[in-house]
This record gives sequence, structure tokens and C-alpha cells, in this order.
Amino acid sequence: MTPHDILIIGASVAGVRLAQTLRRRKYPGHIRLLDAEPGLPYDKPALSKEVLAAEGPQADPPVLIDENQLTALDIELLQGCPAESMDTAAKTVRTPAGELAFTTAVIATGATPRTLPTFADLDGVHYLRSRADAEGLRVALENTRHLAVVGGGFIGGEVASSARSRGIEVTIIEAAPRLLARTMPAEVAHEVAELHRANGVSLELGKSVSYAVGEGQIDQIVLSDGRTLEVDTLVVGIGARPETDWLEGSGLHLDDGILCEPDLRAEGASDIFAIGDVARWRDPHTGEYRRLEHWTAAREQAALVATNICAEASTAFTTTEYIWSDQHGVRIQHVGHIGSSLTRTSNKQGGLLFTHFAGAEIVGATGFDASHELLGVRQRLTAAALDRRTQASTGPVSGR
Amino acid sequence: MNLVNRRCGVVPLLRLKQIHSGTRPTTTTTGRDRTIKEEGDPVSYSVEINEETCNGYGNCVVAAPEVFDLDPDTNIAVLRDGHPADNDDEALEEAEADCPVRAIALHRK
Repeated sequence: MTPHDILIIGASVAGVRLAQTLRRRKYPGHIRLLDAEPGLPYDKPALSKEVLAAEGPQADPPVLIDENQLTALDIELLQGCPAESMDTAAKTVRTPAGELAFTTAVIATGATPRTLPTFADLDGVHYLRSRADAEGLRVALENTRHLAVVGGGFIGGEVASSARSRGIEVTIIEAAPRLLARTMPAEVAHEVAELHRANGVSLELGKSVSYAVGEGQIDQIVLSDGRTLEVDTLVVGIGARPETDWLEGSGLHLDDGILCEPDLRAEGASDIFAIGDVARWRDPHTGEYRRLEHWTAAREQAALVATNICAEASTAFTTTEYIWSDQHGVRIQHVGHIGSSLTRTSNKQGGLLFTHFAGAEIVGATGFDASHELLGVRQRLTAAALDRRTQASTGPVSGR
Repeated sequence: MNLVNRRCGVVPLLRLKQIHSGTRPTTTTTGRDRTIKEEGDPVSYSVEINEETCNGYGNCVVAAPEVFDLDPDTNIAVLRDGHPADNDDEALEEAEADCPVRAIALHRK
């Protein structure tokens, strides 16, 4: 048996999980993990929560793998080593450390924040993606009285919550008429909006920032309705785009991510896979391409690809989507999809569960401090997905 | 599709229950800790849940439903009573690794 060299490009949750799972599956070859950032690989969910909320000493995000584990699992980590380009024919990746050859490559380069040209060249404007971003913002918040958050998604809401916990005045500015417009139904968004208002966050919905004022440092912003807000610090949280610029010209199919087969193999390439935020795979049941930016999905994709590589299998990826967000001390969780109708129920602790229906079928749920109730829906949806996967792996399914 | 191991000692995820169905672990509980022993198998675990850090995400229950549950009153993870039918080490290790706040510590004895 020839040992195979696996090159994992990206050392966030997906890349690290892949390396760990390969070893658990007794993968015998060389595993090389490429991290564009310095330091040990770290977990991102804490960046908008504990790391930002910390006053005084720095709070580092948890590491995903430490030196002892890297040694024990025989994983070579190249730190501060971004991939610059890939030659899919020669099977090499160009990096500052030279050309790295691979037998199998797994791309896990994640996503990068979408930027707003309105705020170019102004200090005090922050984006949040990396450990360095979070530390920079945490320090800036020490001298911030007025924070503006542009974007009413989950990240913006968590930044707002963390800043409020430090006594900072916060305004969320969202161009859509409500929060979470891309992902959640109006009833759920209303609940999140009420949570922010109850905790002293000002919401400017249906408005955008026309321009920013300041000499070097941001000072004021002017909203689309003409009003002016005093601002010391501004955070832009308007979503992310997959990190695929370095793959332009590689021959891989790029379209809002790396287009992949149902088993996460890059289209047209037999030994290149994509996992995590960067992967846009074809759902075999619907024929549609999907891309997720979820911690849980990234880990599931990594585990699947590791298993497929070791077993020389091509099991399709399926998932029961699950996300969470902690805002103002309330645990918001969502599982599955949103449907055409929903019900709203309270639990005895005062938590709230929205159950999403497509016709009579439950397709998802959103909970506010309703972990137990949400888990019930999640297990039900997970069992259904497992049934579908078992069917798909044991033979053709008729009637689809 | 054939999921049988060909190269790396793979235990396909979907086959775990079949592979492990022959063992019947017994459990002993001390407070919130539980030692899980598999008959005829020297491996045992103690499972610790940190109630301070647990946020009720439920990932442990999805990974190892025979071992973990969420308390309906507190929304905090708890160890299930009774005799889990097939809590294999992979599921337990998944549960430990899947916790977003690392509230689960698995001690292999």
C-alpha cells in the first residue's frame, strides 16, 4: 500500500476535523494542514461572543488542536501559510513555503466578510472573521460609547449583544425592513427584534448608511433617511463570500463556492474535495446546489469526506441544518428549514418554540431558550435524514 | 453501495450499531459522573458534564442518544439512566468533540 499525501487547505473547524477523523479512521499517509493564519488553529463561534464580551484581559478563542495532538496524530501544520494557487493537473499548491504536491487535496478555505465601499479608508470600521479581527474589535470597544452594527443577521446580533453587556450604546442598521430577512420568517425576526429592544439596542430597519464622516477615524454616519448618528466604532456584518479567489484559473468550477458532486468531490476532479463554507455541493434529491456556513455542517462534511477517502466510497452528504446564536443571555437555536406556516408554543420556563411546517409536515423549528423542545424536532429530522441516507446507500430509490 | 472497509480500518458510521450490538454495557452512576463498562471489554469511561459551561446545544444527544439527554427543566445536558444498548466509543468521542463549548470530558480508563 502506498502512503498517500493529503493536503488540507484551511485549518478552521472543517480542516482540523478532517485531519482528526482521517487518523481516527487509521489513514496511513502523510497529512499536511495548511493554515493561512499564524498560531494554533482556533474555533470561531466564540469570536463574536465570549471574546468580544471580555473586559480587561484578552480572552482567546478555544484552540481546535494543540501541539500534543498534532504530534500524537502525526499531522504536519504549516502556520501562516496561505495557499496562493492550485495546479489541478500537476496536483500541486503554491504557497509562500514553496510548491506542495498532493495525492488528495481537501479545500477548506472558508469564507471572507463582504465589505462595504462606504467605509473604505476609515479607522474604527471593523469586520469580524478571524482571531485578529476579534481582538482588534475587543480592544476598540474599550473606548467605544456608540457602536453601530451594519447588518441585522446573527453575527451582527451577537456583536450587539456582546457590546451591550459592556455597557456600550448600540444601534443595528439593517437595509431590509426586518432582521434576519434572508434566513428567518417574520415572526421569528420579530422575536429577535423585541429581544434587542428589551436589552436597549436601537434598531434602524429599512435603512442603510448613505455615507460616513470622519477624518481618519469614523465620527458620524448619515442614514438613508437623512439622520446623523454619532459613532465611535462600526462593525459591518453583512455576510460572507467563499474564499475562492486563489482558485481562479485552476479549472475548478467556481460559482459562489466550489461546485461539488453530492459526495463533496470537486466537479471534474477525482482527488480534490471541498468542505465547510467554501463547498457548494449538488443535492442529489433536488438537483440544486447548496452551500452552508454552519459550524455543525462543516464538521459533518469533514467527517464524511474523511470516511469516504478511507473507504474509497462516495457517500452523498446530507445534513439536518442546525445553528445557534447566543444573544442577551437567550439561546436561539434553529434546526431544519423554514416552511410555509409555523406555530408558536411556550414552554414552562418561559422559552418559546416556533415549529415550521410545509403543509402538514414539520420541516424545522426555531427555539428561544427551548433547547429541550428543539432537540425533539432535531432528532426527528435527523432520523428522517438518516433513513434517506440509508436508502440512498443501499440502492436506487424509486418514485423520486 | 458497499461501505465495507477496504483500506484504513474504516468503521462506516451507519454500521456502528450492527458492529457493536453484541455488547451490553453496564453503568454505575456517582452524582453526575457515570462509569460505562462494556462486558468482556476492559475499556471504560467516565463521562463528566460541566454544568457551568453547558448551554444545551444538544449536539451530544444527537451523537450519543443512549448516553445523553437534555433536562427538560434546565435545558442542560444530563446522563441518561438505565442501560444503554450500544454506547460505543466512537459515539461517545463524537459527543465529546461535537460540544461547541467543550462541556463534556470523556476519561478513558
